[in-house]
Amino acid sequence: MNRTHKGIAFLAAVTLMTEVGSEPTERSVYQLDSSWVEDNGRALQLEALEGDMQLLALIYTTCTGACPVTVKSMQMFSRNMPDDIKGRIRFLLVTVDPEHDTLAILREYRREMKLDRRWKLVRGSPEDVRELAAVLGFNYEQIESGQFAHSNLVTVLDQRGEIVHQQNDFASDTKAVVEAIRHPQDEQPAP
Amino acid sequence: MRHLIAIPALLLGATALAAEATAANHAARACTSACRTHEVFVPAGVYVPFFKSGTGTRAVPVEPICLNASAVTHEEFLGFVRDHPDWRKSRIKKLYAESSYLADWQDDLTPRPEVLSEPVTFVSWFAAGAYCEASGGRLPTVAEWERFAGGNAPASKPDTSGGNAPFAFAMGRSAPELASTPLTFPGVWEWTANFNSAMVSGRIGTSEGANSSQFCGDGIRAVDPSNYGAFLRYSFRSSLRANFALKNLGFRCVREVS
Repeated sequence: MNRTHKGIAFLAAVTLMTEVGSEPTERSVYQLDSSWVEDNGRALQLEALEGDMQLLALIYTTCTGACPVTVKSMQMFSRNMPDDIKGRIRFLLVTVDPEHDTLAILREYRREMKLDRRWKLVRGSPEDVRELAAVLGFNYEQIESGQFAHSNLVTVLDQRGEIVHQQNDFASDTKAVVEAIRHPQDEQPAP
Repeated sequence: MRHLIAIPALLLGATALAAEATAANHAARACTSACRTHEVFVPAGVYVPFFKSGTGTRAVPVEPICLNASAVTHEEFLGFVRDHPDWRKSRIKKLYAESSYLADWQDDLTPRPEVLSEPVTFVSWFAAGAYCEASGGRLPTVAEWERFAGGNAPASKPDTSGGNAPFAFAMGRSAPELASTPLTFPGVWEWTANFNSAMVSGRIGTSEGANSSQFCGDGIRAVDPSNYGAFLRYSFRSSLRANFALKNLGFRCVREVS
């Protein structure tokens, strides 16, 4: 094989690898055909999240119960996590109350909760939120205006958008989350 | 043959409903006739959620809908996967259905011939939703489903005589005002669009025993604690995941009345 052929073969291999890498895997949550908007107004397709691991929670800004605790403990985690995983994880908050939580309210929430650029706050249609929640196993129901009964759940997604870890009570113990971020391939897929 | 029987029955049902309609209800009567032959018209009504919120019992208004008279059959689902190859059992993505998807089909296009007219089961929420969308409808919401099918007698108990469906009493019974329609419930649980809205955990009927870290909100106090069938349905829904494909779980679709 001469040099040109080798070069072409190499390029073909790279192209193939890139294409395989950019297709969500069969278990990837990023296959969902849904559209989101970030608090800064930018449109977001889930596939665009590929490449970083995500710590994901569903919240709503008027929540007075578990949500602020969850977000606060995620934030504490983001500050205190071990150095070796610091660059690997991003934070994603999705509102389950898109009717109330406009982009302006999400921006205000970002300021209030002091969330830096590693955090995305997003909003989508009620149907898209319902679908994402269904995939994650997050249950929620609006009880009255501005209040929801809901699961208390955080999810770790790997670089391809597969669920590698979920836990209900994030505030009390983050060891399993650290391990999931360190070794995502060791984790069992969600039941 | 089934259709020949169903059509007069539907007309009777529609007539009975129309007869009940008041003069002010002309719009509803027009909608009745907008439903197709295999559908039942469900007039606007009110749904009282099974669980109390902090401020007590709520009543949620429900819009009128056209409802499939029976659950989607194997034969109907076969037509869907013929036209939509991505939903065949060899092609479906793992995110959308677990490995038991259409487990009782021999291959992609072969349900067992003897069950063709029975409800298709082993279908995930995604597949059920895709079917309904392709047929111009959607899955019913919990509010809609409970409104048309939550007519079970509160004192019902499981059938322990060894039958196939001991919980059939909880799997749907026509609302009283739909009693004269051909609406049928074949003894399978049914998917709803927002199945994941139920908050049931721990000891049923009280908040004791519930894992308080798992749920936020006071959602598990029943409006009618004696309604055993409703408890079963809400518990069952709350245990589901969107990719589940179960032997006793089927679906039917609704269409919004335009």
